[in-house]
Amino acid sequence: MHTTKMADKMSPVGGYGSREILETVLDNSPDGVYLHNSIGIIVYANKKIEELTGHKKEEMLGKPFLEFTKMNVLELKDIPKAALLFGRALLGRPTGPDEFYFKRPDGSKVPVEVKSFPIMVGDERLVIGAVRDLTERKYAMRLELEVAERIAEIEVKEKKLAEAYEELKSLDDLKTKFVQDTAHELKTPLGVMLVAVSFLKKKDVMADPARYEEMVDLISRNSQRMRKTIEDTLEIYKIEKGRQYEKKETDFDEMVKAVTDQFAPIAKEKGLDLRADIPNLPELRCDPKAMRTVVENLVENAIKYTDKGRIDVVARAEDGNITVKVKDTGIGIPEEAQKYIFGRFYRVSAGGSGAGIGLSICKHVIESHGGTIGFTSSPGKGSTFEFTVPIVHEHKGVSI
Amino acid sequence: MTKVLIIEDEPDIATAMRMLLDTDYKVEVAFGGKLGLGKLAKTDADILLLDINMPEVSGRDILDHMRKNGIKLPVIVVTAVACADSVRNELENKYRIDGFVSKTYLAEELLDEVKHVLSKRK
Repeated sequence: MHTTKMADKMSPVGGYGSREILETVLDNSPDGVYLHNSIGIIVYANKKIEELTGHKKEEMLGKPFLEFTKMNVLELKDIPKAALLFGRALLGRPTGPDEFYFKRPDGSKVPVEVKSFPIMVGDERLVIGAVRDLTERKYAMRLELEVAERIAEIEVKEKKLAEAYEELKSLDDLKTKFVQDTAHELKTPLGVMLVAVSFLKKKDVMADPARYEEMVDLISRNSQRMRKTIEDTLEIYKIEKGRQYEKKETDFDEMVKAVTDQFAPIAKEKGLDLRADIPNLPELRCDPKAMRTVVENLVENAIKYTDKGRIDVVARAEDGNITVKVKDTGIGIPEEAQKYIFGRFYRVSAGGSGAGIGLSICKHVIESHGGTIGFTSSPGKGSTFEFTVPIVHEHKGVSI
Repeated sequence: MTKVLIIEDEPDIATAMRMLLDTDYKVEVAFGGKLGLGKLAKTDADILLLDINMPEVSGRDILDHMRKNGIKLPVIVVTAVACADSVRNELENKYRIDGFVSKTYLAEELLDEVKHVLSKRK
């Protein structure tokens, strides 16, 4: 009955012609169109409304607008919002656009946008509602979002790739330099040894015993230097391949004292005062050979880069850690080199005698024992290297 | 007696060079670039044997200093750099050095190179 009344109401609209033409136009509208009267009874719904709700218009016409809720067209959470908008529409106010999801009986859901506004048909106020299918728009938006996300992901990956490339390139440059520096480190003592050998090959070599002695010393010292360079280089290679340390309980203070005893004559020969302040320390669970290499490296570097003054080796057990400091009054480390000296493949000075990569080995050893290593240095005044390792096992009854 | 000045920071290399030369020449050694600059100011040497890779003041710094101050002394670079050919070319082009010896070939080449450079200067 309402449809008939509706058709009557519709026929004068705009003078478009017959009711059939108007209904045909509305049924072919891309948007859903409905009308309800001032008390909320649905008086018209076009075909698009049927498509969007999945219900035949006969199920809706003549029923209160909120019948939609009974038909489960709206999601439960949207009902209060829909009721509010409906109330506003009944008061003759425009609403929307508001977004909802329409649920169809087959379980599918359609995103829609609903707008309504009051119209006067003759002397009766009706509310016309337009329901736009947002599926495509949502799909496009989702696509846009996905594309944007993908682009962002690709940009992040590109950035990471560029960073990784730069990192690899600089590592490659560093390795090239490392090979060159290693060659330099080997060529220098080799050249010295060849000179010494050329003298030793002379027939009258024994005529000057002092010079003979000097030659033998040169060969001995420089062959040891070459051995150290080769061992350090191989150690770096092992570290690269995932070096494992063999840890056992180690008498740490004896080990440090042994190192200072070993270097005392070398320091003395250079006119340096090598002082050791090493009390009894708890045993330390560590790789003794690797740990000794660390202390040797630090003391050897201190002697090498100090021309006058003194070197202090101080060891302490405090707060569950053993700390060793090696302080010198040497030339210090140039500021531009300070950030690189623990870097793998970096040699402090290609012009020095065999220095450099030892520090990156030290760092690896100490960190592999759960410790830290660092330094302070004033160019021209001296450097202090310090490492700390946690005491895992405690013996000798020493309280820490 | 012809005098040779060696600027070299590695004591053993300096010793080796001195041993190769001290029969025929009067040898003076400056250990490192910094001391070398001081010696250069007052040296009466006839030829300079110069290391390149030295901390603080490098061999290149010394060559720059000589060029800037008009110190005309025959120079033989004695180095252990890995890329010897490119360094030699660079130094010959930039500083017009007179000779070049790799530290690995000191025993075989140094004496001959010194004689060769000195003979060209006569």
